[in-house]
Amino acid sequence: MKIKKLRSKIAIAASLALSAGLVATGLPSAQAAGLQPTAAQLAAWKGKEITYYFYNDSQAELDTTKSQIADFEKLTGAKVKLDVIPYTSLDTQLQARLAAGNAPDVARLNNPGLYIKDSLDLEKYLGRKYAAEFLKGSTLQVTHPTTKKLIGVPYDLTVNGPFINVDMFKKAGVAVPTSWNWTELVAAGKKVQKATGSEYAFAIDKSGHRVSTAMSHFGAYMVDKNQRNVLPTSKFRAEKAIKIITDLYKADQAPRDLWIGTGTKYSSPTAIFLAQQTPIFFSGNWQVAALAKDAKFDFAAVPNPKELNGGGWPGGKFLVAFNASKTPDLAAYFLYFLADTAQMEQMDKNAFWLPTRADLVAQGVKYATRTADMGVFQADAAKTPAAAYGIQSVPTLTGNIYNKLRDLMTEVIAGKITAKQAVQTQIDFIDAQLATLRK
Amino acid sequence: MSKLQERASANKWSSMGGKKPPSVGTILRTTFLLAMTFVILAPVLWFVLSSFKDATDLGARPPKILPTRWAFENYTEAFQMYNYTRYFMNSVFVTSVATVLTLLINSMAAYAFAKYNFRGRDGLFVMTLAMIMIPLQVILIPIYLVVSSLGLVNTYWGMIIPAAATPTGVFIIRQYMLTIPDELIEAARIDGAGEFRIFARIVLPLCRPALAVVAIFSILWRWNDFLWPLLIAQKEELYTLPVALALLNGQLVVPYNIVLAMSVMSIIPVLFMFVFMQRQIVQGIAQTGIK
Amino acid sequence: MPYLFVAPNMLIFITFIIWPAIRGFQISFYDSIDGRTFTPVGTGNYKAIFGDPTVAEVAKNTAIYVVFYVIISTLLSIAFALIVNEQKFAKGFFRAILFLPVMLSPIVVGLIWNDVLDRKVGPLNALLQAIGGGSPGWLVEPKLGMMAVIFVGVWVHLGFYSIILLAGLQGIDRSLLEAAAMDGATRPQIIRTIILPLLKPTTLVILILATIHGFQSFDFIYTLTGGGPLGATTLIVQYIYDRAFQTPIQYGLGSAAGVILFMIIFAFTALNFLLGKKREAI
Repeated sequence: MKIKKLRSKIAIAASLALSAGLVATGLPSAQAAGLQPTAAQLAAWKGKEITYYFYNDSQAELDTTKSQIADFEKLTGAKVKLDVIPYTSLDTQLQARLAAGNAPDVARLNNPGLYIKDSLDLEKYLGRKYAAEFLKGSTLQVTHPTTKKLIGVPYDLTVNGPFINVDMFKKAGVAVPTSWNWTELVAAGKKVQKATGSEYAFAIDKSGHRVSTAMSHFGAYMVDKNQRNVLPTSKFRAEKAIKIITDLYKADQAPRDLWIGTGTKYSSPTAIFLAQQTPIFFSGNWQVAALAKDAKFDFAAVPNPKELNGGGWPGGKFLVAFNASKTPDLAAYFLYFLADTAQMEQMDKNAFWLPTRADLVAQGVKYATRTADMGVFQADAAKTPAAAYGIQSVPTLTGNIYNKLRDLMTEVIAGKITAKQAVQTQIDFIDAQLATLRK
Repeated sequence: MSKLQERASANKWSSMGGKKPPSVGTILRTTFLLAMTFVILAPVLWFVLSSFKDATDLGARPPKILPTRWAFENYTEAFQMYNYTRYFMNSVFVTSVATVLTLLINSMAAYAFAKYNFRGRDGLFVMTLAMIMIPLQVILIPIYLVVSSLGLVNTYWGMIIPAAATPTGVFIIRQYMLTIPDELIEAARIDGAGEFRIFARIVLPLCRPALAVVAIFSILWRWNDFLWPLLIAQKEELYTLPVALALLNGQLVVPYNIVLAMSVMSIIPVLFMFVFMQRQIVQGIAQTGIK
Repeated sequence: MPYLFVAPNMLIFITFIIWPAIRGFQISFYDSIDGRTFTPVGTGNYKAIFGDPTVAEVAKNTAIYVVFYVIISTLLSIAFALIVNEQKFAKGFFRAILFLPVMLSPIVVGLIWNDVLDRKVGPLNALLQAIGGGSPGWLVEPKLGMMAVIFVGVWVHLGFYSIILLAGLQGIDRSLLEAAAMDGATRPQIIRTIILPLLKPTTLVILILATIHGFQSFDFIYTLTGGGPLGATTLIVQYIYDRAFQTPIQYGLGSAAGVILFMIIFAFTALNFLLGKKREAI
């Protein structure tokens, strides 16, 4: 409904502009009323096509995107070609396409730091104040490291955190936690495992990003906002976090096969949680839609364990327009459209995303179902320590640093090295990575 | 398995005609081959059965051979959520056009290598064979650059043309053509037939067994290709089955039961071909005289 | 005229293989993190490869894989071809079964064995446990991972090699075998003294193909183990693939490794070929 209203509003505005015979050369900078295409732009865009390079975690995301594209096409008269890409070859394909000079116009990305050189300067098209419409923390990863200009739009905020199988907890007589620390989490997992005979007590995504959350709980961080390696000053804390997780894996109380047996590929124990073989599953809010659809049991998102800190770990997906686009203003406007209040709210509701727009965060998104779960994630987002955003000061390196952490975890789980050695290796690795920035 | 054994032993006794008991060699051989059959078939059968299991059965321990409940919804969901028919038709189209093209250009090249003497022949032939030594993965980005500069990205031709020239195909057909007597071609030339006509009307029909083998290989290769089409087909309308499978398997949240169902559905056409054409495959290869 | 006949095939080879390979060779002298911007580094990439412990590991894995894969597939395919050839009944059936894995896509092969070899819910370990054999982590222990990958590699390609050998067996002159049988030679003697020597050229083809396939193995391994556990099954092609598409992206380094791989394959093929030729001459 909302979207229709908005569309008609824009349509009226557009026709007014037309009848007034306004001729404008560029988009006005963002205003409270929102950005509307000028008559000249509408004329120029008619029949033009842009490509949207897209991946999705749930069917709801794809469906919503398709319907929003249809609205955008009606609004602008342009066409949007949707290329749906498998998550695992997202960067593979995009690199090939950029290298070959047939870049898409717009992409939904996970690691925008890889594409800083190729990204369109959005301030030129959407105004300097546009960045202020989003949460400050979310824009860090799409801020150009030297020019400090906005080169992408934070499309959603992800918060890492644990899910629990409520049925299994009840069966074991363990209360659903409202606040806990890691020791309690591990104890609860083991108790439920024992009582229900499940295969595992705990499972976490095979991801350095997810492990960083636990490190943050213990007060360990890798890079600060001034691009400095801060792991040496918190290495004992980091060891504690790594040890608590890897010990579970080593003891086969967490799915070590999934972690060790998949090489350098990403893997998530979703299927194990869905098969009720683990009472605790540490992942993030983007799983809610899929779990809600497939879980044959009662599950819930619960707060992150709190040691020195509680809260989640910042992450998110981004929209980027490429400077190779033949119609950069159209591409920029498409981003603007997808991330405006009405569209973002609709997507957040349908796909259980958390908003990145300041106005939506302030007013709160009302989800039709799973409100409690989303509430937990929102609360944890607010509790995320500022230091957790530090690593985003090196957007080109985050992928490397997270992946190295993941690989070192693998070695610890396999018993090849100790947690202590892992942390030391990671310290050296971060030093080497940061050195490449100064070259 | 037990049915298989029954059948095998039934065959055994009938073929003996009751004359003498089977020799030790026969028994050893048959046992060996039955073991081989088990090692090859059992994993495939297990996989097919898995595709009918729901999440609980898939995680059951010890694993169950038969699903407690036949989860046909794995299949119906695969059909509903994904455009299976479209992927299937794309696979069929790409596979068949690529195979026809492969047969045509490979046999043309093979003919030149087998029946003409020309400068650089041996060099070109060795070069052709050397092509199997370069793995696609290693030159993926440079090939992609070429293909896209030719405007072949997101086209069926992009999936078809680069794969159409195969060293193995040229080699197999050439070896077979060597056995065709030169006199036949000479006679046709004296009768005034044009070169292309001789090739198309006289030589090709004689090469049928070799062409059948190359056709079968080409179908197998193209049907199962995924790395290349994955790069070329960037919109859903062009996805082939393996691309769709890779896509499904590569999602952040992998629907494993659906991956299984889709995989099984992608095997079925090949199995079908296999059951009906295995005789031609083997006889064809045998007749091509690869030595 | 003959040039016209070879033209379409050659054109495709030149455009889609040779030219990109030459580009790859050029790129091997540059550093690039995206395949677009290139910084010349001379032979820096080659030096880096020879000094990199990861590459040493990958080279070791590849060597182990290729040696076992080639020896096992060659021997087994000869054995299978002989046995199937001798078989009187259900010959077609067994031949067909042997060829079945060849028809499966690498993705499906990876998924099948992932399912079968699973430490906890896989049927193989369930079977082993039933006979009291414990439950080894096929895809979790580095050594077992390598064994699993070699086994699956052989499983996939055996049918292909066997069929070629079977074809070679059909080509052997029957009268030779009959004559030997008349002279009172036993079947094993015939196999050893007549069939195997006559099969040598076909065996050479198998040896060459298996070596090439061995060095190029990638896709089913990628689906099966992703190169793990602990990088134990990361072979050279995956290493190259990862350098182009996985962090840290080092495109020039990957290209240099590709050039080296090509030279190794070329050397082995030539060696096989020459040794085969020489043996024939003797």
